[in-house]
Amino acid sequence: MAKRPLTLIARRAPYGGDGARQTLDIAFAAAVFERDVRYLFIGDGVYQLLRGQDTAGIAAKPHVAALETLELYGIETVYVLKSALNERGIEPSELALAATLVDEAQLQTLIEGGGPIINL
Amino acid sequence: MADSAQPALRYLVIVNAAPQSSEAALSAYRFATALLDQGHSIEQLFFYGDGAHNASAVTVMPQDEPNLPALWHALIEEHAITSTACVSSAIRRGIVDETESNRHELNAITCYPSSEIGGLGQLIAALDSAERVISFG
Repeated sequence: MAKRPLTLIARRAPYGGDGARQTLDIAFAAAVFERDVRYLFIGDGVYQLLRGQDTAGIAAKPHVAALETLELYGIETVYVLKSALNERGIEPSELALAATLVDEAQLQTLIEGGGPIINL
Repeated sequence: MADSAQPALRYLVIVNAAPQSSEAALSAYRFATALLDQGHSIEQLFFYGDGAHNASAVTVMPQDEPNLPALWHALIEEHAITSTACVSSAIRRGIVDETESNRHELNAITCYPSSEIGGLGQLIAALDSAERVISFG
């Protein structure tokens, strides 16, 4: 039986807490164990995807640089809630990763698609 | 026992909050206790991020406040639960077993023996065997 995909919901901004990194580490581990990952970015989670993050002043590694390695792990697209971008004044062109923009109904379909969900 | 209308389910419980700074870890403990009371089982308990503090054997609480790590330890032993503290989370927070203590030359063991220090692979493996996943914090 094929393994069910793992759905990860990233809803936190990249810095100020470790939720963003924790979710990403689970994505890497899942990929290493050859499980399909659906990576959804909603709410403040969309800030994780902004290109040009400069963390020189905050003793942190740029989160987006780690996200950009997802492709090497076979996670080639991420799903981004369109309204979360609009609410924050972010254009899709400002995102560093190949992103599939989804509306609320499509997000619901992805979440309901079966398989476990981890939402940190 | 499980309600006859509801089959017993195997849970993966992820605890991502420290015992002292929010209610989330206590809620996780109460949830775990309730599901065991109702005949369900915990396939894997996983302490992640700040949740690693729940495996600390050196936490001292005032007498009139719950010592959640001690409560978890008792629950894990009583029900023979597979409990893991994420290694990268744990060692950053000073939660080490004998192996990690020796590896990093720390001269202290601070993790309850009821929880092992392990990797995220444990979490991913439990996704296949658990029928429900719930995270706190």
